[in-house]
Amino acid sequence: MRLKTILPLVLAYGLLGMLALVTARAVNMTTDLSFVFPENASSDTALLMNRLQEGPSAGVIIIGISGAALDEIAELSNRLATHLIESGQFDFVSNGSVTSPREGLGRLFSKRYLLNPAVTPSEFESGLLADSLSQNLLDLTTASGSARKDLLAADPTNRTEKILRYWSGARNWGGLWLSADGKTALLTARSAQQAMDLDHQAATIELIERTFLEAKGTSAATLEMTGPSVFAARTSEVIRGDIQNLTIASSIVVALLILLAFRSIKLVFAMVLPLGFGLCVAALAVQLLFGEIHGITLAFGGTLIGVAVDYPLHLMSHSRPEKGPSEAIKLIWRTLLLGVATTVIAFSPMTWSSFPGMAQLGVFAISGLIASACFTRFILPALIPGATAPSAQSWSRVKLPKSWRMPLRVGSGLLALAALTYLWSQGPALWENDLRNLSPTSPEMRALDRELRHELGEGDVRFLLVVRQDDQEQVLQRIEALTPGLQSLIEDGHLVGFDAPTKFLPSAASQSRRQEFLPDEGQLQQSLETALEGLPFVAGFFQPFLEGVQENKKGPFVMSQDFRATGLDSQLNALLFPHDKSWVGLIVPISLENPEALQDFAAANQISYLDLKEGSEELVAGYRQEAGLWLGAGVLLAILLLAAVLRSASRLVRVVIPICLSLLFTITLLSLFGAAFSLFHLLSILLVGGIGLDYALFFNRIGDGEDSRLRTLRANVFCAMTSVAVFSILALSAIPVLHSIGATVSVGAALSLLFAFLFSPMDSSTA
Amino acid sequence: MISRQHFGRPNRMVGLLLILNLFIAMPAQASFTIEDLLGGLKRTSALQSRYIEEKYLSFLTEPVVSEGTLTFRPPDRLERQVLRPKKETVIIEGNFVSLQAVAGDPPLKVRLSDHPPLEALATALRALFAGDKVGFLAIFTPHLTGSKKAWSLELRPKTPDLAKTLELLRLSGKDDSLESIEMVESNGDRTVTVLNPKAGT
Repeated sequence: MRLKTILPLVLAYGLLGMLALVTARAVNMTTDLSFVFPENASSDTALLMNRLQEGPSAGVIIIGISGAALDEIAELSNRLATHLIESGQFDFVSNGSVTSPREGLGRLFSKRYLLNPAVTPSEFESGLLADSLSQNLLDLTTASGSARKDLLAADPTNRTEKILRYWSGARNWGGLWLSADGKTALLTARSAQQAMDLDHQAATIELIERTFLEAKGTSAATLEMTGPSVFAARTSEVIRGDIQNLTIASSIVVALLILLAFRSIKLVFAMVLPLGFGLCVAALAVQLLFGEIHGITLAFGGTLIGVAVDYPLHLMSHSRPEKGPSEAIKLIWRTLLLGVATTVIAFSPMTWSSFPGMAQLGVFAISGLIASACFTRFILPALIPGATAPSAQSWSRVKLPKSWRMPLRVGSGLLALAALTYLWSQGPALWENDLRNLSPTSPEMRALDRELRHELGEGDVRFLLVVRQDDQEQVLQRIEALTPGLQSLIEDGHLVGFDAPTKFLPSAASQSRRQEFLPDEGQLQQSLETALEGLPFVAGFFQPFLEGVQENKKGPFVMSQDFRATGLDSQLNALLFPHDKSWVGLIVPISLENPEALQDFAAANQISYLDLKEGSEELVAGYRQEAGLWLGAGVLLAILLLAAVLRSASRLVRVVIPICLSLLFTITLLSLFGAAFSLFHLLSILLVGGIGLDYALFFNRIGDGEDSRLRTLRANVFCAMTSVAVFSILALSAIPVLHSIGATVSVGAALSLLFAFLFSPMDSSTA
Repeated sequence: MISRQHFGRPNRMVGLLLILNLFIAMPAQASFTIEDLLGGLKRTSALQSRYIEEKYLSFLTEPVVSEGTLTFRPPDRLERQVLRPKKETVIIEGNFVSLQAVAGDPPLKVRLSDHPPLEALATALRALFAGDKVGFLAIFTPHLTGSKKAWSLELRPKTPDLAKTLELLRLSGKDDSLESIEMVESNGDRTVTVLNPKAGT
């Protein structure tokens, strides 16, 4: 008998478990910034932000070791670098003194007379040649010079060193990388795996951590890591951890509340089924339509359809002893359906958003809510036949004296006017425009990233010049043509230097010019002989040099693929890449003092100038504008639907007014407490609207007498309690986005209940 | 004459040889050992000296010559300042070498252990001045020749790893002072540093 009553439930759990497993396997989660980028990223900013966050440099991990004596951290740094190289999981590893084999570098340097900085014809005339030979002879007396003696025969003009200096700027080659205060040893490692493959990232980070732990033994040294892939992995770790903790905490709270309301453990298990089913269906729907699901969609969407817990609460509260759930669902289905339909309508414009993240959220919410509602309607009653809720008679004490209603309604109207005035006075200060505050990365992680990057001499990229041409060669030629102008900007002190793809890869045109003036064998032989007069080099020692120059003169050009396995390809690829049938080259100023001068230069040369900070703020503002647009459209559609179904102006007003008031006061309260409104607040407000709508609709439901009204009251109060409890827990999250959602919705749900109650008919006769 | 008579007797001759042996061996041991050398050098502890270095390289027909100062400060700081023909400061302290070609430039820091021949030289000098015999016995097979007045200590690497780059180190001197350091690398390149100690430091 007992078994028989819980058998359907057990079966349902089994099936749902299987569905959850299928979902977990099918779903492909991403956590990049793509969530906030428009799909058809025509804007250069979106393209570049994406590029900079996810480009080939995204696999680079910057590692800092500190917390012990210099010798200890240096030793650890070397050991870690060696082990990471040996692991074979990295394309490139270096800590300055230990560098992964860069077999490509030798190949690249064999073309040293074609690379930048440009050779000059005079370099090969006997005069300059003699100078550099005697200089090298002098250098042999020093330790640094002796280190180069193996290169001397092939490269007596020190091209290799000049090129390395040109590429690396101030950074020391050959010395251990230490922070300016000498307390942190720095390493960089680039994962051989796809940067945005989360599982591999997590494995890579774990490998580094494990290797470090093995290497450090009992040392007190500590490890820090940063880089886009670390961000992504850590963030998804945090999101997963947070979701897990929050889910557990909320589940316990919801279970206790259900237990309190209906005093049945079986019901506790039954009532979370619609939500679980809704979550799986929603995740599968997004996966099916988009081929992936963003971490934020999952986290936020889960909270959006958390409201689905309310459906079985309403159902059970109306399940009377003589009738049971299958009768109760018929009583409330119309109201429930109207609530779901209105919310779905309000969310539907979102699915056409040009931001894939938004569109995903829309699809997630709509499919999840429909699935949960259908589950509540068609399956849940069959799982708990005969389950009933006790009478709600005791709730009759919860009432508002008739004489208070008017003053309170008028008072809240006046307060609303004050709130509107306050919000109006706040103007643009209400809004959050910093894109980074939308990313789920913690401020601590960003601070660490800035610090380590600064130590490695890599600044924050903010200003950019963008050169767009039909092909790669044209981009390179165009940048070469711009270089003298940029040089004069440097001379005028507007900037210290700049990075450009031409730094690494000269255009084929200029390589061809260099080949032309490289001396032929006879000429070079002759000037070398003249230069060697009186110098103590043994005869024939410089034969490799003679051959090298001839190979360069006649050989193939340096191509972008020559940078493979050199540890430089990621830098080159970040500055030069194909996009949309054309090629894009970036010029990144270093220590830009005067952005206006650069802007004028860009205008004069008809290339685009970008301020990424401004651009990203515009992007966020644009996003919000679009969000506002479809939110407005959604609300309008929802009101139209309500008007059509309710067919009564007074009922429409009774439903809409409390929602508007609770939204208004939620926004005002949050703003008073210092929240800057982001997109996620907007979305949360939409969710509050949906919750408030349900309360108002149920309060205004044409019921069958006082008992039904009290059951509705009880259901609404428990719904609000669960929402407030669950979203208060969410407000505890470390992820800024989840925190804002939690704060907004918990405040909003409480206010929604209050206003829905205040504006509801207080006895069954008026309904 | 008397001794001649004794000579004829084999057993006596053996005895004499033994004594003779002892007699020959004993002064050498008693007069000058590695311990003596180390003890003497240790007393000088801090060292500052001008030097002239000649570097014989396989691809040069004549050596390159440079000069400067060499300073040792206990327990382990070695500083070499090249003054001519090209300025450079090399400081070896702890496990770090810092190279500075131009005064004011940030020095290039390299780990000593990444440069085996230099590390060997530094270890030898540190051990020598610290009187630490164990220190260099760990990596070198020493061979001391000559007398206290003119000694020469040849150090050959024990480990095959070090032997790949370093053939030998030869330190020679007079009494308690080090007068020259010769380093022969495995590729045949040879560096001879002659020290002219100045009075006091």
